[in-house]
Amino acid sequence: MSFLAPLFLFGALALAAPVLLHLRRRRAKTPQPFPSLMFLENVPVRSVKRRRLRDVALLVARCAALLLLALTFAQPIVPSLGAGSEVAAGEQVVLLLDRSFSMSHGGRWERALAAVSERLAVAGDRVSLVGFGRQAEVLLPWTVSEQAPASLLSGLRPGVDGTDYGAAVRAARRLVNQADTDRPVRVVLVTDVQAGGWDRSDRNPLPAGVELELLDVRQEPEPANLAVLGVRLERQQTGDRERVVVTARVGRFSPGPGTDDEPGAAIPARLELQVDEREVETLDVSIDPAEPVFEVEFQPFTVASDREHRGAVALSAVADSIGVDDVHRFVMAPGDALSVLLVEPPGRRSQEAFYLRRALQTLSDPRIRLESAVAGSLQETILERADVTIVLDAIADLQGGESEALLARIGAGAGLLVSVGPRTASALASADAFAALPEGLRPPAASERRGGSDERQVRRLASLSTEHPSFRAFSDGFRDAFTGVAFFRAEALEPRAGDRVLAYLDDGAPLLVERPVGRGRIHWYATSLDASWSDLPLHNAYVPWLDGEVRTLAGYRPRPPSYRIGEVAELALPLPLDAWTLEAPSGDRSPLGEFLDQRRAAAATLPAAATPTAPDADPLASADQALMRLDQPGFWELSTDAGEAPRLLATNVDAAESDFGRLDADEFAAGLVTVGEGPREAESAGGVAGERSDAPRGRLWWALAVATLAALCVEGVLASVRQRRDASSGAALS
Amino acid sequence: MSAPVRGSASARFLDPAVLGRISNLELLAKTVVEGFISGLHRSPFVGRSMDFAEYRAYMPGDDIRQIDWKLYSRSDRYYVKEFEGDTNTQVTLALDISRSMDFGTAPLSKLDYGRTLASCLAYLASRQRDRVGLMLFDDEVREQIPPAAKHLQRALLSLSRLEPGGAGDLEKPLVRLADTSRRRGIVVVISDFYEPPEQVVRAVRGLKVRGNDVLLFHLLDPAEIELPYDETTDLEDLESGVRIALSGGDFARQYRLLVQQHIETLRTRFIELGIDYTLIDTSEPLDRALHRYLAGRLWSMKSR
Repeated sequence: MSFLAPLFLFGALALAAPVLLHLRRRRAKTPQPFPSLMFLENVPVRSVKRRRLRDVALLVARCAALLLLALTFAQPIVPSLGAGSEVAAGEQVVLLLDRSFSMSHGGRWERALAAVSERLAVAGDRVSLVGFGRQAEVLLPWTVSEQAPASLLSGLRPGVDGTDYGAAVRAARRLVNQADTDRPVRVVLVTDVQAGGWDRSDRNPLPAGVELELLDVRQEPEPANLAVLGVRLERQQTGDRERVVVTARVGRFSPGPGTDDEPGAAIPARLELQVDEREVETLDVSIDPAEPVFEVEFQPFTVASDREHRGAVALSAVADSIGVDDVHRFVMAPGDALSVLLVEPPGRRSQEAFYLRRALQTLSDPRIRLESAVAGSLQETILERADVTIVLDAIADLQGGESEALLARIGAGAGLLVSVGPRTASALASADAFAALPEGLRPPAASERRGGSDERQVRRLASLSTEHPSFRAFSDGFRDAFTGVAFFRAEALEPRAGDRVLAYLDDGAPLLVERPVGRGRIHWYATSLDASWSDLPLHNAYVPWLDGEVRTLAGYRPRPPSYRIGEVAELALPLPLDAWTLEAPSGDRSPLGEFLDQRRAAAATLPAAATPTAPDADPLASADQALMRLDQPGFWELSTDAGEAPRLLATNVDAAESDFGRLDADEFAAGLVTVGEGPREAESAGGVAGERSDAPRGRLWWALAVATLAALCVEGVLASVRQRRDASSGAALS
Repeated sequence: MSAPVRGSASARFLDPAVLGRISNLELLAKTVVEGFISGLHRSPFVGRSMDFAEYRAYMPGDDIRQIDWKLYSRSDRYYVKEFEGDTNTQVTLALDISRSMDFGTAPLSKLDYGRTLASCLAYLASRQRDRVGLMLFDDEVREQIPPAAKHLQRALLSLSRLEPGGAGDLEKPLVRLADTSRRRGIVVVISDFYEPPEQVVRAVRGLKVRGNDVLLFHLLDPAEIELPYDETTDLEDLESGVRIALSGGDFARQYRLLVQQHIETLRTRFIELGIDYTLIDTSEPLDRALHRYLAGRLWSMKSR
């Protein structure tokens, strides 16, 4: 038997109290006068059994109540029969070793290894070891300490990853739930207690009853650390040339106040902007402690738009302690551009396109390449180029081949915005106007005609799905932006099954209906995009809405110039994955498909406790899209022999690791442990945790609690009887 | 002689609980004795001399032969003649006022009970025309009033003022009493006799040897007989101050056994010596003690 809270067993020492009380002769405070002790002095049995216990039954009841109370609070654990042959001796220790790159600073790693080694050497303990950065990996499953491999720590090095204490705690939870129930579990967290590694909103503490020991391996004072925290790229388009302005963010971090060598002195440093490993510009800066984080802007420069370039901002200073965060790499790719195709009805130039063109030409990030075409004479090549097709009151004029090609393009990921004008309204009135269109392109059937140009009935916008990416500009509220927008005419659209209404007019009619088609989507706009059926183009909301529409319909996701180690990049490539070759920062080259397969296989063989928080490789990857976790700092290059320009991915260390801001140890520890006593959570972890059961311990606790209550009741009854007896005896005397 | 009828005035005033509320000792003694005597059918005690003293009204219990019939014929009322020298014996009351007597769980402490008893006996003796003397003692004679016909008030005054003394010792005071008594008479000793029986006998024997009729009233409180204390009680000797812790399961039984042995030894030895010994429980009424006195008085008259 073992106890979850053995310190409460000291409460059993209170047993001495009732024993002494019952041994003590309860004497009256003042002696009773008596005429003569002549006879009592001759009573021969005096002093016999002087230390005899009085009221043995009452004493037994009191002792039993105290003992049961102590046992109840101590929470005994009785190992079930056959629960294992190991003799429960020492405790069970989960060692969580911080392997983030900040651990390589100032001798922290050596102290951490020494602490872990010391813990592993405690005889009789069951130990397990988890290394963690942003992900946790079980380095040593539950093992008796004597059987831990001697070479376990020799090959360990701090990584280049950031810190995520949540991942470490989740791994510890799984190990705790695999632990024996008959021995206490202690989690030892060996870390530098970096503030950036703890997300206070991540409420995932250790199971109740598990003791947490925090080993801070920092040893102050430590020198200051300088780091390039990130870059921002601003593009300037002048004609066909694109100029880029690089702004770098630089930080200076001290382990703690007053621990710097010269806390008040500015540190001189040199910043160098490199493109394709060639120096572009060098700036000398002085990093003042009064402004620990600041931005440095380099001169604009022109980059060739035919390919992607390797950019880097490197910092060099004498008084710096960590080198891996002194370089920030980024990719300078030609600015993104979306191709938008305007399809107008044949026979006339629609005024509708005027406002639309003007609005789209104002968009710069991404840029819009605008093309026009006439329904009925669409070429397949122009359709293939279009990321978004906008059909202006011409949906009924599309020919069969055009519509088929358009639908195929949408299914492949492009977008279509259909506006409804007089032509479409007339077509909606006839039953077979859209018979030639494929099913996916047919507009939502109009159940009845609503409004009309003659009526000039003004309607307003009633509601908007602000959570939809098309309306992201209005996420804080659309009413201000759309106040005063009048809709004079709108065709009544009736969504089909699978359609989604994104906006309603105040008479309940849908204004914008979304229909997903394959990997793309179609938006049906119930009115025209010019100022004839509504005055929306004359309001401020017009351009931001169109911007959101184009981005959403095109499925545009801007590619960041750089990633943080541990982040997952989405690979959306113009050729199948198998056509690409991947060169990792380490220099290893392998076919991308093969590399991703290896990642999938490695993920499948990971123990349950080491399941990463993000997938190393997307299990649902398609032929030309995949997710890839970036776990090395540097440039990843994807190249192909098919003539496509190489694609680059830049990876940097987590900037949060450069910040030595320290967590408050008490707050941190309080956030990781569960307050109150309760059974450890029984999680399913690869079927191992299923062997554990807290139910018997709960039953034992309840049994002890009930027995305590019963003993207290018996004590009360016996004490009451005794008191009545004393009272009657006293009354007789008086 | 029958016991007082329960609920009658005499019985009520013989109850120690009632007596305790009467502070005037003379009134108390008179109340008790008159009530006690009135319950008797006939006064068995007569006394006569040749010296006329006065007439007094006939009282129930007086011998009708003492009625002056001539006076009755003139006044149509009953009078009896009183004569000087009607007293035919002397009564000496020896009251133990040692500290041990100042104890009581009954309505009256032993000392108060003894004081009341002595007062009643003094009044009764005086009413019977006996000479009354008083001696208060602990281990010494604290106060002594020689027997005389007119010493009743003085004796009552002494009894009303008495305070508990120190440690008790029977032999020395009683030997002195025996030595100082010039005439034989009745000696009433009221004490709790907390001495070994041989010492008590030795102390009392001198009085008997000198021809006195000795009446011993052994006053004991009910607690002294039963010892109703448990193991949690410490007892302190009133005279010596010695404390003793009660222990052992049957100490009370042992104690009661020793007390009974003590009483029986005293009773046996005094019977052997012809001394009248009466054990009085202070929770009992006074009548037994009064009857015992009157019986001793009668015996004394007959023996002369």
